[in-house]
Amino acid sequence: MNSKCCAKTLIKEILKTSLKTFKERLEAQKLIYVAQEVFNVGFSYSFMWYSRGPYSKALARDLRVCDLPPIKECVSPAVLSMINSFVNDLRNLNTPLSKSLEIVASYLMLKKEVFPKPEDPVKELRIRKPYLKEGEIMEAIKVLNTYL
Amino acid sequence: MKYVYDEVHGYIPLNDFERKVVDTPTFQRLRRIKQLAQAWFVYPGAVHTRFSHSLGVMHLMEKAVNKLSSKGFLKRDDLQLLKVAALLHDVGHTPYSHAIETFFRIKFGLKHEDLSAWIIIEDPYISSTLKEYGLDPYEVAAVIRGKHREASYNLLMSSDMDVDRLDYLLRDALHTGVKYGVIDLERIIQTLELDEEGNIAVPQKAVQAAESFYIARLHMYRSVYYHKTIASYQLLIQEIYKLMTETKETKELLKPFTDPEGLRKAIREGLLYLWDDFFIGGLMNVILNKKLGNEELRELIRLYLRRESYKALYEWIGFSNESPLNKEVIEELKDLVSSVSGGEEIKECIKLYVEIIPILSEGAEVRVLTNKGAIRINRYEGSIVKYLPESMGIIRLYALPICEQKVKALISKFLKH
Repeated sequence: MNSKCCAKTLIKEILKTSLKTFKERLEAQKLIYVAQEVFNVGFSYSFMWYSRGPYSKALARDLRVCDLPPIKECVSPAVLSMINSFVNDLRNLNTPLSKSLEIVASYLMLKKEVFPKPEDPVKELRIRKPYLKEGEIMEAIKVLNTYL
Repeated sequence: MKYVYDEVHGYIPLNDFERKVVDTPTFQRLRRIKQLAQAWFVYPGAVHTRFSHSLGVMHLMEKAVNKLSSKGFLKRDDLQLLKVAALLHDVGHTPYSHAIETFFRIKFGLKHEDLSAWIIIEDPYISSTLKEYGLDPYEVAAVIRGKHREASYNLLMSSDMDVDRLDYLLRDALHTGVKYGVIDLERIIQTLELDEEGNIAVPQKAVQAAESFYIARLHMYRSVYYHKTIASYQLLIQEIYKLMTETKETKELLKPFTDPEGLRKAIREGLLYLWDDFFIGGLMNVILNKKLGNEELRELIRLYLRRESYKALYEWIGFSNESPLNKEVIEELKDLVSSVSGGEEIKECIKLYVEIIPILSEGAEVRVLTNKGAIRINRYEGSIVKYLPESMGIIRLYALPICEQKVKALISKFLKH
């Protein structure tokens, strides 16, 4: 990958979003976290654990200022297809995509990066995010597990 | 209990544990790193250090946690963890603060927060002191890196209105004399709350205090943190450090502080305390006195010591909710830069400076507590912050004295075009 602006290209390609609203930008943050952690896309953004899950200030800045390099310069067709398929699987759930992405990204961060490490990341998610329903959490994690 | 008199907050108490951390050589290093790097070239009083700022941040963390726990938002159990994380949040700062940090960030992707985490976990003085008093260094590092399980801890340490910013705005305003950097700290602390998700929040009655914080920060960006002359000296010291690492003779003198591996080794061996403003300043004097390195390096050091750094010959500042920068203008300026060379001795006598500064950190903004729930302050009808632009852009062309006339002529052509 030769451009630091590739994250924005990937977001546009997968989410087809304008990135104009706060909700769209939050969704984009979660997608990039998952792309790095599950699909090993080497963007190297460092994420903080905020109330709505992983959040990178550097990514937020890049989403604001970056141009869009061509997707072929950013990720291989195989990886792109896997990420697409993952997001489509989440879209097929009965939960809005923004929520499903928040669930999977937060679950991954609780499992891999947050300290002290929770014994049960699912239980932790339910405590931290009471606005999420148990069914929504379990369904989204089930999809995630098929890609891990 | 010992007390340190601080120019911003008055007496700051230190318990035995905190005193032991402060007394480590690694923490004492912060006495020898200026908070505002080269700002004293413009504001002669801006010679305060990371040491006093770190004590101030710890003090404010205690006040914030006490207030939040008295209102039932936080448990007081983690007060010591949060205080020591606040005390150590800048322990990894490079000499000359952000100038040399920028060199390490661009060349190696290394930030001072990463260095702070390495120090907390691996520095023999700091790490053993934390363990001796029952704290897990990994947990302290997690708060500083924003990866603690309690998101509210991360937000207290790093968000729009965190304890770090509350201290540095007041401290920097005091030392520079920039009056519009002053904020109503007592009102902010007194009214501080957390929303249901753990975000920093204020009640509606305290919105003005939060607003004044945002506005003060914006003024400080323009008057101090991104001031054209201060930024020029940061560019110069960054270039000097880069050249020092590229010349064999000077690199040897600078070692092990030339790359992440060297820094990490120094941390593990308890030698990081040698890396301070004095070391770099002294090295510059030795290089000139002994005629070390190449002529370009020596000339840049001369310019630094004589206060003859890059001049901003072109400046554009704009605000926007989207990208505030005109990309076509930047491309044209890049062409202009590539057409200028300083000649044999100084190859890069012109520099293009492009910065985008967020005025609001999306996701980490202050929330306003209303009867309809918590609202992000930039979406709250009753606040002027709603009408602030989300970011500020700066484009500048800097040139050294040797090519000033040539660059001026090119800029005048560019402006007509």
